[in-house]
Amino acid sequence: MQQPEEGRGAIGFLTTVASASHGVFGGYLLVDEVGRPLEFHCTAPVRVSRAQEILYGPTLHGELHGRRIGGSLVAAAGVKPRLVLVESPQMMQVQGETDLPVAVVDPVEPLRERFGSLLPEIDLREPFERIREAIAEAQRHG
Amino acid sequence: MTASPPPLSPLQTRTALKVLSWDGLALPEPVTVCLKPEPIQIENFSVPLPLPRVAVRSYAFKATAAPPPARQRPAVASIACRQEEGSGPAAEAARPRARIKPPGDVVKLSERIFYLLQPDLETILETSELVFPHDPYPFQYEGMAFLAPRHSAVLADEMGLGKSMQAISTIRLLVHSGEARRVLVVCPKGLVSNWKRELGEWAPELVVAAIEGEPARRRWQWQLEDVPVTLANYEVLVRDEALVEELKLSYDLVVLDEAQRIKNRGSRTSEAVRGLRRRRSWALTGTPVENSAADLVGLFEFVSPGLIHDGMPPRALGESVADHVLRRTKDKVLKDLPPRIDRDAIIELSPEQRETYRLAEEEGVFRLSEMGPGATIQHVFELVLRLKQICNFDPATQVSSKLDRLEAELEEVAASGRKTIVFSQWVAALEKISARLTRFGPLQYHGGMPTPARDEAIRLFRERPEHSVLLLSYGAGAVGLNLQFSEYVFLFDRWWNPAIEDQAINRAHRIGGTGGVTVTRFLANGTIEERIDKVLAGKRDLSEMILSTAEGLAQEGQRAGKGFTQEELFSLFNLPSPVRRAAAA
Repeated sequence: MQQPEEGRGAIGFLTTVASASHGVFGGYLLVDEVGRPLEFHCTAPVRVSRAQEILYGPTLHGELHGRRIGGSLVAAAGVKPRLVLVESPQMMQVQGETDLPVAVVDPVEPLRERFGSLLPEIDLREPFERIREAIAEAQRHG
Repeated sequence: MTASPPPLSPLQTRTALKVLSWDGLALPEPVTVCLKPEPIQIENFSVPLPLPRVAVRSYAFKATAAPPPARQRPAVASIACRQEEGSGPAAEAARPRARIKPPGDVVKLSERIFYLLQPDLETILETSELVFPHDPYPFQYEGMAFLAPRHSAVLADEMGLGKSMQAISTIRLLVHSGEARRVLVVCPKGLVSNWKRELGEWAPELVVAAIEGEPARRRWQWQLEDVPVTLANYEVLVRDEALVEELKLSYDLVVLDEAQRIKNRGSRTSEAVRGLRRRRSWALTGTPVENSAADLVGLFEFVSPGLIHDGMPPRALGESVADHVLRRTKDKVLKDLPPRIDRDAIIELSPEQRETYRLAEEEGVFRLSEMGPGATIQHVFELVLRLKQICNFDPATQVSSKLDRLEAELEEVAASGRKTIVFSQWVAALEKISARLTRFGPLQYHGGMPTPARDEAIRLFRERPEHSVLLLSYGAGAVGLNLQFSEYVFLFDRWWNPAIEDQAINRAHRIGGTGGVTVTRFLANGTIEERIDKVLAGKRDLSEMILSTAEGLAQEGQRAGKGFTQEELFSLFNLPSPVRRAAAA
């Protein structure tokens, strides 16, 4: 993968979507400072066996969703964002795979206090919905 | 014990053995007991602890231009209903926003994902350098979100909901995003000036070339480069069909306004528009199906040739076009709309009218100046009336830009089964309008008619669908009539006093009613009508204006005096009033 270029004001939105029939999909959307998409990366569905579920226990979510899926997606990006936002604390494990700052989007207010002008004036939860729609579309198209 | 016990399982055997050994009593029949424990099978149960590899699919999008700093939202259009129904930041945030969705005919996954990943349209517009003169209504954003991704689209909103504004704003988006470089808009002749005006208002930075004039001039206009929007009327397009072909003109987008004009597939108009080279085809019409399904087939021969055909069952027809047609009626979007929509239709006079008007005004002002202190308010008033009549009809040729426009608009209203009332100051004007609009079954109602004839006109207008237009004079039709089943009001010319106009409009406008009324005021551009309108607009809120209407309807000159002071009347022609002149002397 080429060295990511510095994305002016770019923000990354990273999440996973679990499908009972397919497995876990990952999606990573990079938007500019006004919310327009720059890049989108998504994974093929990842399945884990029952044995893996048992053996990984409560660490599975962080390991699979955060490190494996999240790490692969962040590594695939060509644009280097200022910040990567995730929806769940388990996804924070992606930090082990990147040197980018990572934060959980909820609650938003402390986040805005912490990152201030780094964050664009857009609804920070909304891009996750776009990812889910895009993943659903990709799923429909096989 | 004589009875033998049932055979034991290996586990039971061990248990039994243990028990039997413990009490040492009667031993059962010999059993095979495996005293030696079974060897433990260590299965080679290999769990692939490293989680599976993750395959990533990537999509990169075209770099967008550097966005300017976020701007403030423009002031919300001053429309009462919108403000009443929950305004402020909370309501704004709660309102669902329009998203561009991929049309059904976009099959490439990367393109579909591109659309799905866009932010809502309002955000796109708020963060762009595109400033709009008014904040569009939510349904208008949805209309733009519908048009933007479509190569084949019919915007079939009811008249008055802003089809042209939605099309213009979307054209603007496409031009700015580089998705369209050459756009052709085709409309009826009577609406060309309106399109020019609306393009100037909603997309002021886009250069527009209107195709008009002599053949040589038109040839030059068709060939103009770096002009994003070309505007032509249907007649010109038919006339220049061979020229367009010869020049091999092609467009990224062709928009047809009042597209019901091409329903007849055998017509020259239909052939001309279908022959245009284009990537995208949009049709704007309030009546996509006027008489039969064949109308829709005719329309789609331009929009998406071959998609539907004659003889298709209605259900199949509907399913086929569903993704390409967006229709909203006033009822559907009423939550967004005020009960009354007012719009000024600025009319460009025809060259004949313009010349007659210019001569009449110059001569009239010269005569007033010559009269000096002898010029009275009556003299000025006569000149104003004369000029207003020319704005309606050219006295020599009877050409009327207003009537062209009215006819174009009525086509749509009448086709949708709606009723229209038209007001004019003059009975003679009503007669001329009636003569041109015979196909709409016009009825008249004015002071020159006996009461039984007037009553019969109202009855027919109310009960008979073939009579879709009622022509009224302000004097006779401004008060006392209940025409609340009419949804469109046209003021062919302006009255002196806005309160009288309001009374006329209130024949149709129902306060608290369920349907909206669209009021269109015709104003001839650059004429006395515009100057009168400015004065009236300034006075509209004054209580003296409202009170003056209560004095009833007297003679025309006296009524004019209620709306305009002597000084105001003289100032229409930049003349000092006699009072001021006397004081100055």
